[in-house]
Formats: sequence, C-alpha cells, structure tokens
Amino acid sequence: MLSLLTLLPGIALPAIGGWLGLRLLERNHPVLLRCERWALAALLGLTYGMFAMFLAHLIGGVPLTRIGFLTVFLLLTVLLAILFRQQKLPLRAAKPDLPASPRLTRGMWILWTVLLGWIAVRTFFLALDFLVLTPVFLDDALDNWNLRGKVFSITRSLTLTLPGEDPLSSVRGISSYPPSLPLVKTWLAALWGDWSEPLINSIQLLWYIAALVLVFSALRRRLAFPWALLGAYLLGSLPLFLMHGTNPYADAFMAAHLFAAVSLLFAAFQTQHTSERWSFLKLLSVALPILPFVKNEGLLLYLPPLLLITAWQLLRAHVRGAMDAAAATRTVVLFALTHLVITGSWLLYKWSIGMTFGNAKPFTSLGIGWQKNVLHAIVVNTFFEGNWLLLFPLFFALLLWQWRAAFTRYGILTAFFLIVYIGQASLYLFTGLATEALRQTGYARGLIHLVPVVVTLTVLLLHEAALPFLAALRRSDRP
Amino acid sequence: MYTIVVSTHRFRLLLGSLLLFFPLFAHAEERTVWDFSQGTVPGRWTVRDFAEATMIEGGLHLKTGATEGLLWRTANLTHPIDVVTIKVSSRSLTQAALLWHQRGDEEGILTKLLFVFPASETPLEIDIVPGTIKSWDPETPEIGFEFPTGSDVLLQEVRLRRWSPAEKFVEAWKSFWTFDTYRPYSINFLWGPLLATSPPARALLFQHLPPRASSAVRLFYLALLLAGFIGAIALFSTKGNARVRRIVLRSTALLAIGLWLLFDLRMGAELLSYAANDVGTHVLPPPGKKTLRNYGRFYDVLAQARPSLTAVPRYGLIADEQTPYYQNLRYYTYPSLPVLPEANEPGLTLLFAVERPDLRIVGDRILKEDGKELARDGRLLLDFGSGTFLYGTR
Repeated sequence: MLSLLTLLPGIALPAIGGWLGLRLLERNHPVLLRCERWALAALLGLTYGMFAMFLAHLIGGVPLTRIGFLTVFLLLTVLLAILFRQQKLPLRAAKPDLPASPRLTRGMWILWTVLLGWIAVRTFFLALDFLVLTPVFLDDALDNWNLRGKVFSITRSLTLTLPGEDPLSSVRGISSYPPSLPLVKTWLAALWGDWSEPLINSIQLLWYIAALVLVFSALRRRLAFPWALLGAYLLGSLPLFLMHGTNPYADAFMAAHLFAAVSLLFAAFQTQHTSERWSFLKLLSVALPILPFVKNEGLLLYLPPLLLITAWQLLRAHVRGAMDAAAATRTVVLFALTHLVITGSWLLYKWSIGMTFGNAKPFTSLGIGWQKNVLHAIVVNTFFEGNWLLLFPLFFALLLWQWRAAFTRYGILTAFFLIVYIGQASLYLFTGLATEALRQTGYARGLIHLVPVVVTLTVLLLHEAALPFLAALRRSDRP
Repeated sequence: MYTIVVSTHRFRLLLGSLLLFFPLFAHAEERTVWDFSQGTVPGRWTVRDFAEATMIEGGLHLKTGATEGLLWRTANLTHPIDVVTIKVSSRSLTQAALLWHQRGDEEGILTKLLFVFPASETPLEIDIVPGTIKSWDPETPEIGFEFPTGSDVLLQEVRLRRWSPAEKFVEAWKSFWTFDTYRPYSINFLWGPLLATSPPARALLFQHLPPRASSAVRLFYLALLLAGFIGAIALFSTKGNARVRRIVLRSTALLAIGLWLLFDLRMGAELLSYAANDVGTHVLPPPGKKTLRNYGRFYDVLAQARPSLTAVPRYGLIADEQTPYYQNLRYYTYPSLPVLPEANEPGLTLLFAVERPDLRIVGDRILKEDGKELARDGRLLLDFGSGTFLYGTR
C-alpha cells in the first residue's frame, strides 16, 4: 500500500511535461480552462511520455527501467521548459472568456453538492475496492494490459512474446495492441522499484477523472456553470462507465483520449476568433495522431472519421471566408507532419513486426451477411439494462427533437457519433463481429468510448430544448 | 360548508378507489399439490420409457436406462402457474426438464425447460421458474417432466403455484432492489433492476443467465409515455394553453429527473454492494478464510502458494480446462510459468492442483479417481483442501 505514494509523482513528472507542451502549443492565445489544461496534461503527458519511451527504447535501446524512464521524461521536460522560457510565456495563462453563469441559489448548491458528492463517494469506494484492496480478476487485464506491463517491467524491454505463447503467433495476437497503457504500468512499477498491484491498478482512476473534467470543460466553454456540472454528473452517474473507470481495462483510457480530440476539434470550429482556432488546431494536431497508440480502435474506428470531419471543416471554413488559404494550408501541413511522425512511426513499427491491424484478429477474416439476434442484443444493451441509465433514450429523443441544432451548430459532434455508431452497428449486424454484440462485449466497449461525446451532445441539445422554457419561466417569475 | 362537502366527497372517492383494489389484496398464493409421498399416484399420469416407475414408501421411484424417461398429465388447474416446485431426491447430479404443452401447438408437442438438482439422500425442494421465457404457457393443459438416461430419482411432490397481484407487486418491488454480484461479465454489462413476481423467482434472479425476469426499465418508459400521453391530452383539450403547457413540461421534466435519480440510486447501490461484499468476504477475513466473488478461495490459496510457485521457473498446473486458473496464475506468478499437462513437459519439480477433488495423494503418488497415476516420487507440500494442493517431486 505504501507504493501508492509513488502514484502522484508518477503522474506529475509526465504531466508537467504535458502542461509545458500544451502551453507551448497555445502560446500567446491560451484557450483551455485551467482544470482542462491539467487534465489534458496528465492524459497526453503520460501517453506521449510512453510514446517517447517507446521510440527511445526501440531506436536508442533505452531500457524500461527507472533510470531509463526518468532520463527520457526529464530530458523532454527540460527541453520543453527551455522552449517555454524562450517563448517568455507566463506561468499563469489568461483564462478564456466563458459564458456568464447565474448565481446558484442555496438550494441549487445543496443539490449539486449532494449529486456530485454521491458520484465522488461511490467512485472512491469502488476504486478503493477494485483497484487497491482486491486482486484483478478480469480477462483483458490478466491477458493483456496488466500482463504486458508486468512482462515489460520484468524483462525491462518491449517483449512481444507473452508467457507460454508461441513467438510467431504471439506478435499477431495480444501484442499487436499498442503498448501505451502497459508502459504506464511499467513506468510506475519502475519508479516504485517493484511490481505493486495497488499502484499499477490505481492509475486507472486518472482516465475516469480526466474524462469528467474534459466533459465539464467542453460544456463550460459554451454554457453556464450549472450545465457543465450537469454534464459531469451525467457522465459520472453512468454505471458501466464507472465500472471501467475503476477497473484495469483500457476503454476509459480510450474514451478520455478520444474525447480530448473530439472536444478540441469541436472547439476549433466553434470559435470565431482566428487566433483561438489556431490554438485549438495546434492542440488537436497532437491529440489526434496519438489515438492509434492508445488502442487499436483509435486507428480503425476513430482516426479516419475525425480526419474526415477536420478536413471537411477546414474546407467549409475556407469556403465561407472564415479561414484564408494560408491558414488552411498551414493546418494541413501541421497535421500531415504530426501524423507522419506519430501515427506513422507506430504504423511502421506494426507493419515491420508483422502485427495485425484488427482487434487481435485480422480484419480480413470477417464474413458478410445479416447476423441473427444482434439487433435485439443491441437494443437490450442500449435501452433495457443498467449500463447507461436513461442516457440513450434521452439522447436519441433530443437528436430528433433538436435535429436542427444537432446537425448544424453541433454538427461535428453529431457527425462523429453517427459515423462511428452506425459504422460499428453495421459491423455487428452484418459481419462475423456479431459475437461482440451478442455477448455484449465489443458493442458495450464501443459505447464506453463514445459516452463522453454522447453526454456532451445530450447536454448541449438539452440546453437548446430548455432555452424557450427557461426564458418563459424567467418572464413569469418577474413581478 | 363547501369545504366539508368537498373533503367528504374526496374521502369517498379515495375510499372507493381503495375498495376497487381490494380484490388484489384479497387472494394469497394459490397452489395445486400432487403428493406422491402418501403411497398413491395423484391423478392420471402418462409414463414412458422408464426402466422402472414404482410407488414406494416416500414417493414415486423413477429409474431410466439407455433412454430418457417422460411422465406427464393433464393439468386441470383452477389457476395459472407461476412456479413449479418439485420435491425430489437423486443418487447423482441430475439435469432434468420441465415439460408443458403450449396452447396453439400441435397435439403431442411438449416444450421443455432444463433444470438441475444435486445428489441428495433427503428430498430437496427445487423451484422451476419459467419467468419470462417466451414459450412458457402459464395455463398449459398438460405438464410433466423428463429425466435423463441413467437417472435414479425419488419424486415426492409436485406443487404448482400462483401468487396474487398484490403479492407479485411486493415481490417486484423487492426484486427491483435485488442486486447482482460482481462477475466477470460485469465489465461488459450490468443487468440493471429486474422485476420478478414470486419469491422463488426473486431468489433465483441472477442464477439463470439471462435472468428470467423483465427489465424494470420498461416501467420507466411506460411512466414517461403515460405522462406524455396525459400531457398531450391536456394540451389538446386546453388548445395549447400556455399555463397548461408549462405545467405539462415541468411535470414531465420532473418525472424524467426523478426516474433518472431513482435509477442512479439503484445502480449506485448495486455497485457499492459489490464493494461491500468484497470487504466482507475478502478484505476483512484473515488469510485462510478469504473468498472472492465467483472464485471462492482461489486468491486466498494463491497468496499462500505463491512463494513456492515463484521459487521455480516452471510448475505443472492441474486444473479443469474450463477454469480461468491458468490465465490467473500466468499473470500472478510471472516470471514463473504454469505448464499444462498436455504440454507433457519433463523435469517439473512442482505441481499445483486446483479444485481437483477427483485426485488423491497415496504415498508418494497422485492418483486419479480411476486409479491411474498422474505423478509419482513426490510429496504433499501444502494441502488447501477441496482437491487443491501443492506437490513437490524429488
């Protein structure tokens, strides 16, 4: 349990580097809320730290030891600090302009305290039990995320052959998943000096908290404080998302990274200010290409539609005169560079080793045809179980009721959700991946990745729907 | 005077409404009992393909040979069936089936629902809950049982039970707050609140997967649809009056918020119950007495066996194929590696048997149930009971 003391320093060092990197990208036009910047710093700082370690290990032979990790992280942090100082950027970034917030009444304060307190208490006790006090017993943690972290930790290298497996087939199986999350666990174990179950599992809570903060921030950028709190509460109240936030799986990890990219993309094309847009685009240029290094779905399911939407938005902005050709070209070049370096190096590695590009199964092995009972399984999981409370009926109802806002003002979020959801549903309904829906495995995990986007869009549309009534209430309340 | 008249009128209305519901409370559980224990066969049964079917002291003795045995009769009931309870004893674990004829099916067609009962010398009461199975017909005209080949059972009683609407309502409320336990599938889905309508159905709620009960979420949707319908009528009848519109929207919003909060409370309580169970069974008990979820004593045993397992580079694992012990041990004892028997690896100095009550240590050997030797020239190092032990070879 003493090992838990290493958790904060283990997060802090990469997070500081992440914070410096984000401030350098924002430069003189900070656009992030303070809490958002720290959430992104911890999230992207850790993942990029692992990416840097991955490259350093492969190219420079740096071992996956305490000295190895510290050397890479300190070098990066020092380099970023030097650049930060050179740019003469202030430590305290200016706060972005936020929509006005009404003073909360005493009753509202009590209500929010109770609701968020309930989320906090529940999260604390579940995290304590599942991550610290009891052994891991879930399949994917035992066979993949924790196992690989432990193998990397003990062999001090990126060992691809898992214990007891054939060296030829092991590479094409579980080891074809990105090593980012296992490397985080390896880093923590290296820092502590031993493989400690409570320590390497407790990091999982970070992704959950990051997702809550990012959803809150994305909403606060557009709406008043209570609406942003509503978003955080809605996400925190989802039972299956909480399960993933307090268990050592990689889906909350994926969800947080995915939402980081989606919210930056959304913000970039919501703002009317050129300088703010450029800041958001620079941030997006690092949030997007790292997705394939987070989980395989990042490459197969999420990066392509996000790039497509980005390209469409750039074109639209240019055609409408909101973005000149130079700015658009600059953005395209920036994205091309970051994707070439980051996504490109990961894909090159996968290809050179002969890894598969599916979810531990080759993508080419799926048959095509209508799959019986899958639609029923999807409907049951989405609407009739305890996974998502009443989120999806509310979401789909709002999507229809406020379709104009959904497909115009919030078109980026809606388009992303629909492309991914319909795409995934089609895979389950028409291919051999149907078992992932019938057994409620892959389908539910896919929704875990999407729920931060769904919650954000739900609150935005709810706000749209509530506006006339709130206005009428205010009129009727006036003497 | 006006106020008193209105109050009296409202009181009469309330009382009248309550009286309307009185029939719901008037009837308790109904049951039909077919008792075989008194030496006589209750009613006319059709018996087929049993090697033996005789009335003995205590009940109907049924024995099958190389084919399954069936017995059934016309139901002739005065009430529908919610639960079938049989009182039966058997020499071995038996997977039998409840049979019934679904009205509308061709004559002679019987649908079956499998159920299992353990070996027992004294009769056990086994509840069979068809629940929400589509093919179940609670007013079936014919009902019976099928017993597998090689079974030897004593059937003492068959009880066909039905609960009143009020009792079902109470059970449904209780089952709404009946929680599942933390299982491997809980990371992929959570069943959520379910509605069972009898005590046996509630007791067996999460034992059959998928559960044979309706999702309570349907009621949430029903409530919202009803509110929407009433709201629509109110708006229509007042020609969209602004004040009525505000009331309708406010009420619908409050209902939706209330349902969300109720659902949140329900699921939050379930998740916290997982943690509470873990604390009670694994965190607080001392080593040697810990159990965890559906893994029983495995992790407790692992904690004790681990120093020995990690002292060797490889050790033999003797466990049933369908168990997850290999993947657990591969992770927890790494870099020491468990090796399965089919790998036929020579030179292993340590064997770890997990839940193999069919094995026994005789002298320096491990013998299987059939007497075949599994290992020799070793000794029992640690015995954890229930066929779990560490065996070291010289």
